[in-house]
Amino acid sequence: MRLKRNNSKKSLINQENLSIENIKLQLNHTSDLKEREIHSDKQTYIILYINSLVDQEKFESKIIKPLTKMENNDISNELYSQEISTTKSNKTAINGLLDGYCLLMEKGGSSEGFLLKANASTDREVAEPVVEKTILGAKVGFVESLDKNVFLLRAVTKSPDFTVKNYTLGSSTTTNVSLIYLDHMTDPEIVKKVDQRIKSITLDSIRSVGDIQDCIEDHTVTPFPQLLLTERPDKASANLKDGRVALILDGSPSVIILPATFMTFFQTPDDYITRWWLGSFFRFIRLFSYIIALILPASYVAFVSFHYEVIPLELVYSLQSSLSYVPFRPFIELMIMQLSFELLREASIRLPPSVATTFGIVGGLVVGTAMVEAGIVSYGGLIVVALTSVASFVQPNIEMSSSIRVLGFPLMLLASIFGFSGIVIGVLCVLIHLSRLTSFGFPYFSPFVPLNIKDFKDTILRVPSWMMYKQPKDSPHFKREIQSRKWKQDESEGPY
Amino acid sequence: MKVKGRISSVHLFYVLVQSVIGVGLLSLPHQTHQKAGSDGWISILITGFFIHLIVLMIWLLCRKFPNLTLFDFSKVILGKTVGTVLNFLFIMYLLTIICYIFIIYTDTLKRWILPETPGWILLLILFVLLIYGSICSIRNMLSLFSFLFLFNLLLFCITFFVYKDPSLDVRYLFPIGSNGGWNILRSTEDTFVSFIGFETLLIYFAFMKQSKSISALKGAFSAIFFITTFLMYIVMISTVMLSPEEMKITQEPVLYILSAVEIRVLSRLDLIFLSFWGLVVFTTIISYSFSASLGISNLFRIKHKFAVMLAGTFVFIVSIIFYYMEITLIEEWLKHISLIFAVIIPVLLLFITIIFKREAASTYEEKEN
Repeated sequence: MRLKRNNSKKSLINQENLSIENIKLQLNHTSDLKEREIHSDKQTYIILYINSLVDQEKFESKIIKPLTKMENNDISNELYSQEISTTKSNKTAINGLLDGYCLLMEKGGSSEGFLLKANASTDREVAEPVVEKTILGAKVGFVESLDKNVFLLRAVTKSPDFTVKNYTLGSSTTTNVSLIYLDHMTDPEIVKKVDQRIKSITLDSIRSVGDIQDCIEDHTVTPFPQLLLTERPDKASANLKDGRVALILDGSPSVIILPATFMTFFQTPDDYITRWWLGSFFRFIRLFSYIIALILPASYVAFVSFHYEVIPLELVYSLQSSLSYVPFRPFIELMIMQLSFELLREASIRLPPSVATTFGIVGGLVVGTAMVEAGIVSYGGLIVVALTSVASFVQPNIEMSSSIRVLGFPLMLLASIFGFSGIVIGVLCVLIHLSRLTSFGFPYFSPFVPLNIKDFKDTILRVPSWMMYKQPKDSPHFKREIQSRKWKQDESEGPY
Repeated sequence: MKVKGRISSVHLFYVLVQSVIGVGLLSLPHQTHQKAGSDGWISILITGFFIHLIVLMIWLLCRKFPNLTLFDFSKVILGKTVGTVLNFLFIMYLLTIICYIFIIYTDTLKRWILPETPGWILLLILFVLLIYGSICSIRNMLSLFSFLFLFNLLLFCITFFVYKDPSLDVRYLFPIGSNGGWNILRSTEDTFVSFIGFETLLIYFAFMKQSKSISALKGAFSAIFFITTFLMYIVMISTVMLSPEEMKITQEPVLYILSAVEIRVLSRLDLIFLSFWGLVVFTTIISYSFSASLGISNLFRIKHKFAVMLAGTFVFIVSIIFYYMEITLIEEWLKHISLIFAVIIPVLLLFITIIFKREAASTYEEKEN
């Protein structure tokens, strides 16, 4: 039955001539497809639109009203609509209708139709981003509308190089995607690659940015994210200026930035607002906390079960006193603790804020203390797990901090088998893996692997902006001037 | 099979340092002490100088065959049959070295950290690391090595804590040369073993962007210089810390002196040192197995991936047999076979090349831009 209908539809699509009947059939005579006849002085027009997608007020004032008063037959000059285009094909007409355009045709006239933009917008007001908070940065976040997001990005990136490429993805339901880059500052190779990869997406429908991410990232079997998602226009703009590319998906407040390297996930807009040595310090803290979160549980297991002689003697006594009541091996002990913290974390995400405080006290404090007193875990284990989760919360990027959770368990297992050497073996495996990752052909673990000390200045460190006279290697086209601080030489006083 | 020139002289520096510094590091002061006594560092210096000469010869040999590894140009020099036999022997030599590293690493780890862990599990872990680490392009390997070089420096920094120890006595070094020139010279045959790894240059020179230019040699020379200094430092610091009697009985003097040091946060520095030393050993293993698999894939015409698996399996089986049968054959003969394969064969090849005017066929010659 379905097949049959599809076939009849198909034959109609193939009819190139634009006709109202045809379109109605294509859209299954949906109830919100409206048709209106309007009589102007000389002509009668038929106007076709989808009621739910059209802004009534715009429609009345900008299309209907001028149309009734029209003196000449010159539609493109007399109407006030934002965009007017002509079409002769059924397919573009239908796509237009689905985007919120109205189709205007002369009754009994030519087979040419006009597409007039009068779409209703669902935009919410621009608000402060929820996930990526800053202290001093801009309080503007991306919204769910593609046009508005492009506007937000363009407003903070005023440049003639700002280039937008539009794509329509999905074969059964369509989604609009915009690729944005600064022409002279971005490696054309990267733009070409992104272009090719987006064009090769043949998904039936795009649900979220995740679908695009799955299709275009270099490596799928890895805990490390290779595309940066941000909801901040200032961050996106800064990355564009660094020679990266932004992908905006209609209906998503998260913008994809690529190519992203490992260190990209440790940068925040605040780094560039605070003075440079503070910014460098915070970045260093973030990297350090990443390493701590990765290694600390494993180190605890290794120290307690293999090398207790490594820790100072007094500490051994105090650890021993609470460990002696715990019937499990350190690895099992930490696993129990880590898993219960994972539960807490997962549960707290979707709780309303009023309950969350109570939950934090009950979940964190009561359960934690009770577990120690009941002899299920030791104080040492509790401290380690708590510190680990605090350290993982330091990460500015959620996906990056999730990679710690994934890698932490195997490391703990290795540590429980081989002690500290096991950790070294595990870390080596992670390093080997990282050294092979690429993001759009660019080495993922970039300033470290391959080792390039010169690129440390905007990755681990955040040197003053006048010192970044050369951009990182993924954007070789752009130079900043050291001249910005030349006044210092002019103003400085001599010794006399 | 012509390879693409991809690596710069800086990369060559990293790869050479990582290939050479490895398993011998811990016991080196003990070995030099056997013959040269407190003058072990002089014999390291002499060996280092000697290695510079050999590296020069290897470079002279390799620059005649740009973008060709040993496994290819040996056939050009010696003819197809003899060349293939030489390649086979060289691959066996590389694999033997990996077996040796496997056994020494397992043995050391068992004695210092994991007395209860069965040896085969440690060998299995090494096997897995070998497979995982070596199935890659040379680019990946080199970029990894460049980062792991930082851990070499970390090892270097850990030894600074030793200066806290009150038993440090500089007088153990004096009088310089008291053990006699002949003993010092004789000791070089022991120290030579610590330097093996430079023969992988026979393969890596082929990957250089400009193997003919002097900058390639500069990278290799600075690496050998770094290694000589590093090893000399290790020997000197052990000599200064331990009395000659103690040195005779301690097999791993470096760990021994570190275990005596106690800083507030970490009581046993030697265990930390030992774990990071593991990284240095793994890089040596990866470098050797990468070179060996290049040879194997050349010899049997199989893919690099399968060559690595073949090499890894061979090494795993052989080292398990040698480990459990407690065969010390490799350790005894290592000196001699490494001398043959790292020194005599390259020099012989060079002489044959010069005398019989062997050169890479013109089709192999890269077109200059």
